Amino acid sequence: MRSSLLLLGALLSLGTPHAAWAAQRCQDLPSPIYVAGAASAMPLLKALAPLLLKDADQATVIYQPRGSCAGVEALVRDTDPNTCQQGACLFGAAVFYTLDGGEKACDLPATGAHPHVALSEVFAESCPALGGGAPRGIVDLPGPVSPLALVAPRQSTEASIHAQEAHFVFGFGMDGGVLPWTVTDSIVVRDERSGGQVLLSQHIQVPPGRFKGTQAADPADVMARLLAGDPRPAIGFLPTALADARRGDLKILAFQALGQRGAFWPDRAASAFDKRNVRDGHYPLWGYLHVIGRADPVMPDRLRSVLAARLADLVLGKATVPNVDLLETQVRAGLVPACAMRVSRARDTAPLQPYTPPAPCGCWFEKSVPQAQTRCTACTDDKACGAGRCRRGYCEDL
Amino acid sequence: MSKDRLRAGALALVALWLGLSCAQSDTGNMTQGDGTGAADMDMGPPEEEGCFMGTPQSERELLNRCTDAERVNRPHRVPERVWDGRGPLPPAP
Repeated sequence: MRSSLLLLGALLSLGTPHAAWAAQRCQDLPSPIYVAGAASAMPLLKALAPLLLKDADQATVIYQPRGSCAGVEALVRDTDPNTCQQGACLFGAAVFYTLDGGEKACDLPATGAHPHVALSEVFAESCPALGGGAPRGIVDLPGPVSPLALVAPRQSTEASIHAQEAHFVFGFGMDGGVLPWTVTDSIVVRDERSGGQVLLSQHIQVPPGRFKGTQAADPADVMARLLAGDPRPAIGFLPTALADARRGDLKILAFQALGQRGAFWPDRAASAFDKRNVRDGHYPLWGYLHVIGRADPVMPDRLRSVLAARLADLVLGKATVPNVDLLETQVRAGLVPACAMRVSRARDTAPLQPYTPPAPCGCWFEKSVPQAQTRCTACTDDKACGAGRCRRGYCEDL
Repeated sequence: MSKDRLRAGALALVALWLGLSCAQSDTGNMTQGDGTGAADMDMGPPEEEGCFMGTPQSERELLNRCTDAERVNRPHRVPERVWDGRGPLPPAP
């Protein structure tokens, strides 16, 4: 328990420096909705949780950031509402969010909490322990995009990495011989239940369970390990939602995919935040942030739990909330709304393909990120946009 | 249409392609001196293979579409003793 609380403390400090601690039983909170999954979802949940508390149900979001696939497994294996089977449910410590946006810790029931929803950076079918194929009775709803970054300490002399190099760095460790990443203790990895590791594995041809390096427990631990030793051989990977907030300490490496000519950053430049290369297909290291839950037995494309369905609508930006722009909430949480994307994927292993969102918002997105810069034309109505449409104050091409 | 006209048209197309290819190569060098760690960047000859200028449909075309985004061009640094640089990547142990 002490170690899980320490880990949780580190994650709380990652999300907010002012997290308060209290001896609190999670099940005593009003209408608890149990969620588990990727740590990169914490900034978004922190923003959305107060909206659920203000709903008629006054639901309290309780989150355990244990990794994308760890969250999915806890949900998929939870098939008996009366007990927690092996590998099912959530145990230990969790975070809950207060009406004023604060984060606090609470203890989950000793008998386990049945998760309502998992938030994952990969499709459920990509989780290695689930044996491939979409799990039965589960709804998997892809939402905003969460890019992944290969990162090094700011003092690193490196600016980029090839997929082939990453194959030998993460698949062979020091035996790979790719300078300067030849010190296994300085190669920071996660485990096969980390969404980032699952995503990266598919682009560098290393199975997620065969990564070599020193294993970090969570993203905060990744950062701590990267910054603790010699910066020259240090390398790891983090969601940009977390790495972008630490650009003073970390450097995002440009990535050259297999079959690509040249390496690109997630953004149009190393110093930018516009995720242009993610959005237009030059940077393939990304996954959707998925809302995954149990399906309604009557309508199998819908979530069974009303609370889960409400949370999903908020995460996916489908709900209407007075005075709240849910797309803006996604952007502030370091994610890329689907409407700003011009490429898509049908599965994590599927190739990129061109994508036309039904209501594009790429121009608005570019003006909504730090160091905003766009070549789009500002507008108040369609007249200024020729054949395009005026959307969110900018001319989009349709 | 005469053979001369056809030849002239072909030459014009080649010249256009070379011009765009060079423009792309220039943007590939934009990373110089940007404080991001230029030590591993190849600022040498412009990219010879160019970039994809059409409407991309496949992943490879999307990855290699012409862009003015910053790009790093350098050869990979995998030692020859572990990989010859041409064949399939060996499976991770």
